[in-house]
Amino acid sequence: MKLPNVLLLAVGTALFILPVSLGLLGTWLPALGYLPGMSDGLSSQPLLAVLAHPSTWTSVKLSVSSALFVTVCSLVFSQWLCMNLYHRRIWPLLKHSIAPLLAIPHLAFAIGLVFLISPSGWLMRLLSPGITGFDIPPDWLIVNDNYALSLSIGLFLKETPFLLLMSLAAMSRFDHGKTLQIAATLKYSHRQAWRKLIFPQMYAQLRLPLFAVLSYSLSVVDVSTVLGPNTPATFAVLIHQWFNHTDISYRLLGAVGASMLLLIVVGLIAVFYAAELVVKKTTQNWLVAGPKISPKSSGFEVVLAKLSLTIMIAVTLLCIAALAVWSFSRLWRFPDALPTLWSVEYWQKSWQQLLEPLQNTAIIGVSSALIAVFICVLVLEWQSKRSQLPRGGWWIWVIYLPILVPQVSFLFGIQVLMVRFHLEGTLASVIWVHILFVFPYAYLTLAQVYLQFDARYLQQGAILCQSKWRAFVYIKIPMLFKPLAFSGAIAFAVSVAQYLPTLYVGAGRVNTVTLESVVLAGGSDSRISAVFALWQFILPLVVYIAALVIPQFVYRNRRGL
Amino acid sequence: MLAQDKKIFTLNKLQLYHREQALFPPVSVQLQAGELLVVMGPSGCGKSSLLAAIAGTLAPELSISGSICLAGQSLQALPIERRGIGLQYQHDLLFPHLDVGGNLLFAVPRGANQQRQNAVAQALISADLAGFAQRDVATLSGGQRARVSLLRTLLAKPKLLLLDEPFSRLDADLRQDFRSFVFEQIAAMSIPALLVSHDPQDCPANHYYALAEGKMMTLEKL
Amino acid sequence: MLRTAHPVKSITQLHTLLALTLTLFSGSLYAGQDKNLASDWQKTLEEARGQTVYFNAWGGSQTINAYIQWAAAEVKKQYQVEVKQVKITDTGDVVSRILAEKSANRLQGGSVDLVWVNGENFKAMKDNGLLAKPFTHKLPNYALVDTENKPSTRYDFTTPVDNLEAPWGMAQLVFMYDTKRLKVPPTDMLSLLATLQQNKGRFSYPALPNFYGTSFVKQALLELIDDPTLLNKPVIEADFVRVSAPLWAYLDALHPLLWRKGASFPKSAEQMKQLLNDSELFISLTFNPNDASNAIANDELPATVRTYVHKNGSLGNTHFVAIPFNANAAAGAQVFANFLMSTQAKLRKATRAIWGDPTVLSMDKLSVEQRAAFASLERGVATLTTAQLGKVLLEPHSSWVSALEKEWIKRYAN
Repeated sequence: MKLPNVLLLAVGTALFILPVSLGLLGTWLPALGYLPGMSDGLSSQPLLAVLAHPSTWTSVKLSVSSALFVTVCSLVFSQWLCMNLYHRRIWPLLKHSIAPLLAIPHLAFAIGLVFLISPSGWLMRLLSPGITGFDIPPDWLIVNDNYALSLSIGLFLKETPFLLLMSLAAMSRFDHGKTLQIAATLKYSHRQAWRKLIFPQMYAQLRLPLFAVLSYSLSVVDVSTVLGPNTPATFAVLIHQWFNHTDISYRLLGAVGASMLLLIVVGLIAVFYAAELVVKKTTQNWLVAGPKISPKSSGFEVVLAKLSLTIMIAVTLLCIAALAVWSFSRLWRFPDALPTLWSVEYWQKSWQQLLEPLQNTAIIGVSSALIAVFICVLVLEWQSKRSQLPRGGWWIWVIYLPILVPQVSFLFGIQVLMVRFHLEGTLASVIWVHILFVFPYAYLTLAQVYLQFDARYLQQGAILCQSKWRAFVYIKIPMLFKPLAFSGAIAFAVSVAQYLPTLYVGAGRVNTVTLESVVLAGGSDSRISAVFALWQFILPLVVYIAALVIPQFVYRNRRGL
Repeated sequence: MLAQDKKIFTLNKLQLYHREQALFPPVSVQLQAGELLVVMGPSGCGKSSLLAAIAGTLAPELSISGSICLAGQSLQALPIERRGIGLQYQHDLLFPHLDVGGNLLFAVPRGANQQRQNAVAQALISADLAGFAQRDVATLSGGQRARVSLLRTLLAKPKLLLLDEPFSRLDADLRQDFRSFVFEQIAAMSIPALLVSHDPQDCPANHYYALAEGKMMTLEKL
Repeated sequence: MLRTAHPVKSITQLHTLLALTLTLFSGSLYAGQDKNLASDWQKTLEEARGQTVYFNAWGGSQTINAYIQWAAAEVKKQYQVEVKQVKITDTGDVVSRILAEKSANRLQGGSVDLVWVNGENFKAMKDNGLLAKPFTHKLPNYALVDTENKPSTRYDFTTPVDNLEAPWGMAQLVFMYDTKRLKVPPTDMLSLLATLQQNKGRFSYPALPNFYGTSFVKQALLELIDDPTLLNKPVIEADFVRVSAPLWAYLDALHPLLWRKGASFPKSAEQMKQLLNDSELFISLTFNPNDASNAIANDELPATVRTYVHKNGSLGNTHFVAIPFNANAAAGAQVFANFLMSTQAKLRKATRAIWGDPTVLSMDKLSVEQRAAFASLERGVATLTTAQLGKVLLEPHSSWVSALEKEWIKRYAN
C-alpha cells in the first residue's frame, strides 16, 4: 500500500501543484520586469506603472465589490432558499433544476441576459410600444452599468445554483433530517433549527466552494466583457487588455496585475476567515440561548422563497428562450415582440462550420471528464482507506488550487512553459489543462456520495466474488454509477465552458465551440451570437440528460439504486 | 387499579397505513408517569413508524387512524415542537459545532442565564460527566456521547420520551451501563417512555408489547 | 476589448515623396530580377505543397470567415496548400503568443504561419523582431498592388511596411446612419454635436483602447486641431495637453449627449452595429465602406441605413497579412498571401454579396477583362462612390495613439 500512496501524491503534485506554481512563476517574473526577449533584469517599473495607471484603483474596487456581492449574496440566497423550501412540495423542483441551471455556460447565459434585459431587449419589446409607449428603445443604462451591478446580478444568478448543489452535498454529509426532528422536539422552530444547527454544520463544507465562487467572480473575463462596466472595466478585464495591448510592453503590466489579483483573492479569503471567526464569536451565546416560542410560522417568507426560486428559473429559461428566438430569426426589429421573418439558415451555416469545433469539444470534454472522474475514484479510494485523514486536510486545498487561483494569474506563465517545451496547440495538452480545472468540480460532486458508500457491500462482495478487485468493478462501481455519471456530466460542462485555458494552451489551433462563441459573441450579428451561445449550451445539456437517463435506463428495474 | 387520570399517555386503536394497507394490528396502550413500555417486533413491522407517528415526524405517504393523547391532549393536530416529546435515536446526533455544554444548553428552555447553566452542570454531574462542559464532542467516547445525548433530550423537559433502539450502536458492556442510566433517568424524571427495540435484554420488566401480534407478551425466561 | 485586425490606416504626407522614390527604385530592381524571382517562386510553390498554414484572423464576422473558407478551398485545389483559420477575438492575443514563443527561444515551428494584422499590432511585431524576413516583393501578385496611389500599402499607420506584410484590403472610416430616424446626417464633428443635441443618446464610440474608439478620437483630433501638421510629427509630451486641448473640450461637450450619457461605451464597432439595428443608436461607424450595404442585404441592418463621411475627409488605411519569424509553414503562408492578392480573390472579395472590401489592386495594372470585371461590380444601396468617399486623411504619427489613449483613460475611465 506504500507505493500507491507515494504514486498518488506524485500524481497530485504533477497535476496540480507543479503546473500552478510554474505558471505563477512564469507570471511573477515578468511582473518583476523579467521577460526574456523583451526585458531582462529586474525592475519595479511595471509595478509602478500599474499603481499609477488611472484605471487601476477604480477597477480593483469594482472587482472587489462585485465579487463580494456575488459571494455573499449567492451564499445567503442559496441558504435562505434551502431553509425555506426544505421538504416543501417545491423542494424536488429545486433539486432537479440545479443540474440544467449549471449546464448553461456563463457566457451563453450572459449573452441571453443582455438579449433579455437591455433597453432594446426582449422584455422591453414585449412591453413596447403598448405599455411603455416607446417606439425606439429608451437610453437607459441597464447592462454595463458603472457599479458592475448587472455583472454582479448575472454572476449571482449563475453562482447560486452552484452553491445550492454544494449545499445539498453538504447536507448529505450529516443526518440533517433527524437533526431537524431533534431540534423540533427540543421546541425549536424549523427556521431557528436551520440557522443554529444546519447552517453552521454546512458552512464547513461550503467554505471552499465559496472561495471558488469568490475567485471566479474576481477573475472572470468573458462574462465581465459582456455584462460589466468599461469605464473602466473590472480588474480581470483590464489585465486581459494589458496582456493583449498593442504595445507589447503592457504585457509586464498584465503580469503585475495578474499577480495583484492573486493577492486580492488571498486577501479576501483571509477576510472571509476573519469574518467567520467574528461571526462564530459573536453568535456563541445566541446559538445556545435556548428555544424561543416563535409566532406561528413564516408563511410569507416561504411564499417569497418559492417566488424567488421561480423567478430565478424563469429568468434563466427566458434567457435561453431569447437566445432561441434570436437564433431562428431573420428580421427582428424593435419594438416587435417577435421576429417578423424567421429562418433556420444560421443554424445550417453554423453546422457546417462547427463540425471540427464540435468534434474537438466532444473529444476534450469526454476525455478530460473521464480522466478526471477516474483520478477522483483513485483519490477517493485512497481516502476511504485512510480514515485518519480528516476530510478537510491540506490536500483538499491542493485539489482546489486550480480553481482558487485566478486563471489569469498563471495561464500566461503556463503558456510560456508550454511553448518552451513545444507542447502547446495539441489536443493532449488542452485535455491536460482542462483536467486541471475539471477535476476539482468532479471531486466536489463525487466525494460525498463516494465516501459514504457502505463498505459492508464491498466486504460482502469480496466474499462472493472472491476478489476485491472484482467486487469493486461489479459491486461498487455499478452501485455508484449514478453519482459517477453526474460527476462526469459536471466535469464535461466545466470543460466545455473553458475559454482562456483553451485559448492559451491550444494556441488557437484547437478550436472549440466556446472559442467560436466568444469570437462571434464579439461580432455584430445577434442571430449568429445566439446560435453559437446555444451550441455551447446544447452539448453539456445533452450530456447531463444522458447522465440522468442512462443510469435510470440501465437500472430501470432497480428502485434501490 | 390506578385511576384513569394517572394514565398520562394513551394510544387508542392506533394504526398506520401505507396505501390502505395496515402496517400492524391496532395498538391500544396506556402509560403512567415513570412507566416504560418496550415495543418489539421483527424489522419492517413499523416500529419506527409508530414512534414517528407519536413524535409527529411521520412520512407523508403513511396515514393514521386512532388517537394519541398526552396529558389529556390529542397530539395529532400539533406540530412537533408543541407536542412536548423527547426523541432519542440510536445515533447520538450531537451537534459537532457546539461543545458538550453548548449541546446541553441548546435544549434548556429560555430563562435566567445562571439557572440554565446550573441545570446543565447538574445534568453533567448526574451522568458522571462533571467538568466536561468545555469539551469538544468529537473527543468523547461512545458511551459519553450517548449519555450527553440523552441528557440533552431530557433537559428540554419532555412530557414523554421516545427511544428508537437507543442501545443498538453501543458495545455490549457500554450498552448495559447506558441502559441502566436511561432507566434511572426515566424514573427520576417520572415521565412515561416508549422504547422500540428488538433486543429482549432492553426490557426492564419481563413483559413487552409485540407490535406484529398486537398484544402484550411475556419474555420467555431462558 | 476587441481590437480587430481588419482596418488600418494611411500615411503621412512627409512620407509620400520618400515612398514614391523607394517604389520606383525597387520597381526597377525587380525588373532585372524577374527570372530569378520566377524560379524562386517555383521553389516556394514546391515547398508549400502539402503544408498546413494556420491563418490567425479575427473571426467575428461570418461573412469574412466564409470568404476565408472559400480562399482556403481554392489554394487547396490550386496549390495543394491546406489553410486553417484560427479564429481570434483580438490580434493582440496572437502577438502575445508569438512573443511567448520568442521568449521561449522557439526559432522555428511556431504556432502562427500567417496573421491578419495592421497598425499598432504590426508595429509591435516589427519593433520586437516577431516578423519573418521581407517577402512580399517575391510574391508575383504583389506587382498588381496599387502601391503608388495607395500609400497606406507601404506605410502602415506611419510604420514603413518594408515588404514585411502583404496588403489585403483597404479601409476608410465611414459613418452609418438610419435615415428613418435621422433625416440629415452630420457633416463634421461640430454638426455631430448639433445633431446629438436633437437626438440625445443616439451615438457613441467604443471605449478606448478599442481600435475604432481610438480612430474616432483621432478623426476628431484631425478635424479640431488648429494645426494638423503637428500630428505628422512625434508627439511632444510637454506640448500634448496644449495641442490636444480642443479635442478634450469637444469630448467633454460631446459625452453628455452620447448613448448612456457617456457613462458607458459600446465594447466594439460590432456591438454598435447591433445597437444601430436595434435603434438604440442612430449613427454608428465602420471601416468598411460596404459594411452598411452588406448588412442590409443580410437583414442585419434596416434597409433605411445609409453611409456618410465628414466633409473634410476621413481616416483611411490598409490591412495586411504578415508571416511571423518562426512560422512553421512560411512557404505555404506566402502562397496563400499571394493568392489573397490575386485578381480572382480580390474580385470575389470586392463583390458586395461576398464581403465588399475595397481592393488594394491597381486597375491600371490589370488586363482589360479584369478591369471590366471590377468595373461591373454592383455598388450597394448604402455604399458611397469613390468621389463621395472624399479625401483620405493621413494618420497621425503613431506616438499619438498611446498619448491619446492614456489621456482618454485618465479622463473618462477611472
